[in-house]
Amino acid sequence: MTEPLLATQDIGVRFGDFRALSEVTLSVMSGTVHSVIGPNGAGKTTLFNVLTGRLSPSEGRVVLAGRDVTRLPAHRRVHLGMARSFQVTNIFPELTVGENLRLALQAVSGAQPWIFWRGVDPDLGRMQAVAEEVGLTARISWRAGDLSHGGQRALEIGMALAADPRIIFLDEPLAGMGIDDVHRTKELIRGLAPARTVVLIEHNMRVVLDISEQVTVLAQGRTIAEGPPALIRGDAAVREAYLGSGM
Amino acid sequence: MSGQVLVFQVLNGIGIGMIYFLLSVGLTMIFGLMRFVNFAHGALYLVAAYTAYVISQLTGSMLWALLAGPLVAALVAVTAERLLLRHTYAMPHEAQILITFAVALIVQETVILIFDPLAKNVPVPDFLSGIVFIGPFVYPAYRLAVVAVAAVVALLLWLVLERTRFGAILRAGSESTEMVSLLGINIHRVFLGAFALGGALAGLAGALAAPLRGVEPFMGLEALGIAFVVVVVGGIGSFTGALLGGLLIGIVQSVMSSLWPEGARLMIYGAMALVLLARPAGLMGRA
Amino acid sequence: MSAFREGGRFPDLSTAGVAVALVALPFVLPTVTLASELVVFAVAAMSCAFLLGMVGLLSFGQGLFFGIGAYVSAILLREHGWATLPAVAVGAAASGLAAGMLAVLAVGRRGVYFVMLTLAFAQMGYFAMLALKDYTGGENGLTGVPRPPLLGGLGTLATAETAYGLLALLAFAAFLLVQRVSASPFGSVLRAIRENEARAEALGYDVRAFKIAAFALAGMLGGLAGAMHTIFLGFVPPNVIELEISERLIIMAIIGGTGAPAAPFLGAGFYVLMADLLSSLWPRWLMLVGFMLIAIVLFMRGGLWGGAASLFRRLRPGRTRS
Repeated sequence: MTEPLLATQDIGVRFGDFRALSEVTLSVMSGTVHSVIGPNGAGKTTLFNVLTGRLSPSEGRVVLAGRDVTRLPAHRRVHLGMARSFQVTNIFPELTVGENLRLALQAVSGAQPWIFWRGVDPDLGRMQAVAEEVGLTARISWRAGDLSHGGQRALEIGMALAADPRIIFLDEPLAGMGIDDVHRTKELIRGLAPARTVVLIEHNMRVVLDISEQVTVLAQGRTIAEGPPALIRGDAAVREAYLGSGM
Repeated sequence: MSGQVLVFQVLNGIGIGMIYFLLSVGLTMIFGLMRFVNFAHGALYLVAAYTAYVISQLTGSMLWALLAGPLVAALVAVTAERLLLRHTYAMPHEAQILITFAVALIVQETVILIFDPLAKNVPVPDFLSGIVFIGPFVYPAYRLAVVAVAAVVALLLWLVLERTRFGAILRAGSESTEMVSLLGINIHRVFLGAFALGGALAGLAGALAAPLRGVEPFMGLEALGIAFVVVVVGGIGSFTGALLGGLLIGIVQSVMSSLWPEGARLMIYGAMALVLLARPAGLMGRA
Repeated sequence: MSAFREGGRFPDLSTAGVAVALVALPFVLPTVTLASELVVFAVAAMSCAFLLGMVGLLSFGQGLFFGIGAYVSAILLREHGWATLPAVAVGAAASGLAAGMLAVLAVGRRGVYFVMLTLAFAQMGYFAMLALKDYTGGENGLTGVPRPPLLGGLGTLATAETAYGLLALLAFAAFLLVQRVSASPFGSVLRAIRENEARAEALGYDVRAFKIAAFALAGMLGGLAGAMHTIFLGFVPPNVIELEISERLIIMAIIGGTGAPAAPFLGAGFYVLMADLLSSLWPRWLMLVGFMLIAIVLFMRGGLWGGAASLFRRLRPGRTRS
């Protein structure tokens, strides 16, 4: 077996008396699509926040490619090849689509962001490439806030891709999308691997079981099952956890 | 500094600190409840101090002044909330700050218009003008009365917050205003009540302080700065934090005023910077 | 509050406008003194407007940096016999440094906490001035600050007119700097932070470091304005470091608008001219300013600049905003 690209060991997160996560241990292998599923309130987004550095865990470790990054702030992890999209669309709505992407590219362009003595120098080539990857080429001069919901979700993914990450975290990328957008976005995500590693939170079970190599199931802050889609499909504990939540 | 002077200054500091507590607790409470920073809070203190000045001039009675000050301050707070501030709850913090700052400016200029820019003395009430012997120590009676009044009010306030329905709503509201709304409570009435209570407390601070420091039109602005320091030191939104912060700042100011008179006020801010470095969220604040 | 617009151009039409205004002011206004005061406060207001418009930081403490710049430059001129230019430069740099250090304490705190801290720091500055009365003159301020030539005995500033020339040049340089920064990669990061701080962090920007840098830059502008004030007046009244200056700078920034680097010139101009006109007629005119501030926040977010810009657009119906 090769080393996992990202691993956690006994992650625990407490908010006061409330335990949001307990003893979550996870191994994400390089070049795979690894999904995290579970009912609402299972702690999926909290886990994402720990993995990407928005939140420090109360216990446990996060290791990226052999390096302990548990206490590393979010912006530093980006430079180690981590990028994410958010569950609630998180873009710069007042800026153009192009400027959103340019800012994402600029963030990982060394000392460029600190240059104050001359104008911005957009790397139009790369901006176009990212825009094309997420299907926004025609709308690059739009105000980002004027995009459709699907368009904004695509822009989010584009901003995450701009950093050319090794591992990309997508938090419910399909939420609220129409049927055409779902299919397109599914193909987009599938196409990211094996060049990149994808960690995915998603409620659309058909898509998850279709494109994931590995699935981790969380319930009430704990891992209740882990394995390839075929195994998860038949797991009794998973059925139990989802009973009544409309799997 | 001799032991006796030190004790004297600490006692003094407790008196000042209790006034700072009364001044700040409304600010911190209103912030905790509705994430609203009221830059006009110092203006309420100002209004009450001038009310106390006028009443004591007219009636010669500090007792009436102590009642009228908080009342007028609460009235001003409620009026401002009804007419203007309630329309800003949905706005960004910056807009709320600028609007309440403008209100403070208007109040300050109105005070100058009615009176004049000069400082005025407010006499200490006759029956409290003497001194008191506490064991071997001599202490001005009025300052002792300030500590007593403030302590009683602090206790009452604590009882209100802990034991009454209004207090429970205030505390719940500081956790989640959404939840309070879901419980079917008219959140706007709660806000109004919080403004009235916070205004009255700042008003009491102003009325109590008037005989100690006199009145002048810019005392509101100065008080706002002090209240911010107390809130930052104590931890925003915390009743206990406001009490601890107020006392700490009052004692630092008082003790330093005999060690380094020119720098006493400066050391308040030094204390704030130290607390900020050691505990960024304040003494009682949650990170 | 309105924000500096995306991209921004350097230089643009407003660059020429500011240059023309700086040349015309002493001829248009009744006195050179008034023109000098206007440009000094325009630079100071720029420091406030830059923070609010570019980074979304509301600072009630810019008067502190104004005061530090005023005192440091005055002490260098008066006690150490420095030439004017280096004294001004060091005054500005000292303020920038102080702002950077305070920012390390303050920018970790978000939103209202930050605003409260800036106000507290401004108060601290005033009491520090009183405590250091051996250097600052305490309540008396520093009188009799000389106005030596610019550098190495060259460039005399003997008359009010030549002094205005220097102040106008410094104001123009400050304006160019702000305009340059706002249309630079660094400026685009600040704008991103103002728009969506969490997103900027997730993209890989060290938000804290950028905020500290922006605060230091704004502090330097405030310090420059303070040093200019010393050159202008020839003495340092203790009120330069009072909280009232911080308030005045906020008022100027909001009235002028925070949507463009040139907007603070309008705000400072409005305030300084109103003060000159009204203070003798009705000394309590600040009350009107209070009502005006409320009206601007509620109904005219762009301030005077925003109002003028939308008027300009309406008068040219052929061009609509994209």
